Amino acid sequence: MASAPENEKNASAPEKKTLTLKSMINNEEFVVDEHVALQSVTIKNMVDSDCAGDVIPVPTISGEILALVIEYCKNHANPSASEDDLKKADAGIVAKDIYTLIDLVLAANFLDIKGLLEVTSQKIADSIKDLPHQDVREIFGVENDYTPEEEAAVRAEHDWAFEGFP
Amino acid sequence: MMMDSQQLPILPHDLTVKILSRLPVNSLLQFACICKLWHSLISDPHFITNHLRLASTNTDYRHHRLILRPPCRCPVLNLCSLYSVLYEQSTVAVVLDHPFKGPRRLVKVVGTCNGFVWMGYGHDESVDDYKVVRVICGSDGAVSDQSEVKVHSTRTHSWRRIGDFPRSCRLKDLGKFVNEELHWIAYIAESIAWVVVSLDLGTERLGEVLEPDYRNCHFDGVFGCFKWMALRTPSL
Repeated sequence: MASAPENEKNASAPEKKTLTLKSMINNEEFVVDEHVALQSVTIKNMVDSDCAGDVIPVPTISGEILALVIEYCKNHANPSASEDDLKKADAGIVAKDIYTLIDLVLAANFLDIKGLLEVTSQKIADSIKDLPHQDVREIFGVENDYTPEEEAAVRAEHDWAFEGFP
Repeated sequence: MMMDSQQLPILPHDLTVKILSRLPVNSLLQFACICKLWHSLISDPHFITNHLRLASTNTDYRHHRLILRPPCRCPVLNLCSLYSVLYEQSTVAVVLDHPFKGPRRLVKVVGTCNGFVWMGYGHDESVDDYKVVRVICGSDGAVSDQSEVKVHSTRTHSWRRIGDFPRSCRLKDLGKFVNEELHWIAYIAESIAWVVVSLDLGTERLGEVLEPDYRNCHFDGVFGCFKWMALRTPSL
């Protein structure tokens, strides 16, 4: 009796191809369906050119971030998901602190996943738009190279934009 | 300060540009103070064009605003976010600050283009110029008078007469800006017919739009535009 489901499983097994993605930061491994992983253009190019082995190493992306990326790809690989469902799911994935968002945008850029790159860039823009300038400088790793007089002159150029700004 | 012990990775320049392109205009102008590199990036014409393209094609309408005029004889205009109207439970409209306030003044929005609100207004993409078009029809009732067309360019800061609409041509309503051209519906008294006349803002050439065959219908003169198509409604 137990052999029937076993046979079924064997019969469907070759169709469901999986790939293993391995974070080279903390060696965490994720087994994902191939069609989910192929939303990354970088991974697709590796698979298409036969450069992908059984385990695909992903440098500079931690397991925590890779899990978010895979969640995004799974959601968007589901053909029955409505536009509204996807919008809500995307909002949940990017509801993170700025540190996670910066890692996520770098991961989306490296793996070349256009939709994730767009939604993460928009979330970072929304998160920084009201921050004090010094915080923005630290997030983007830039220094204030103005003299106080120069900065005041630039501020005066567009003084209306500073109404209500600290 | 929000950044303490944690070290953030440095974002490559193209990602910084991508993120800044998604900021609202007032935040961007504030961020010109961040450093000299950001100031030159934000002032770059390519960046400005791309920012405008992203903002105007955003499917959530995050950067689109509705201008509302209360039904009273006063110079008040209100402003609210289209995103908020579509996706939020309640919307707050704020009073739009504009220079035409005064107890005995009326304001009317006659045209908008790329975030500018003005009169008979269009953008000439070929030379990145904004032009104001003024059409002066002849004295009231004198259908034989010509309609003088003058164009003001924001590049040269001057008015120029570019030609006249044909004799007895009376424009109805405001110009609609489609495909780099302004279009008006006009009544030609001589032939007792409505036509659509156009002004190409690049070449500054006046023209007439060929109309389809409406068979047994005629126009009632209602005119609108949707994306790239100019529409007129025939009445049966």
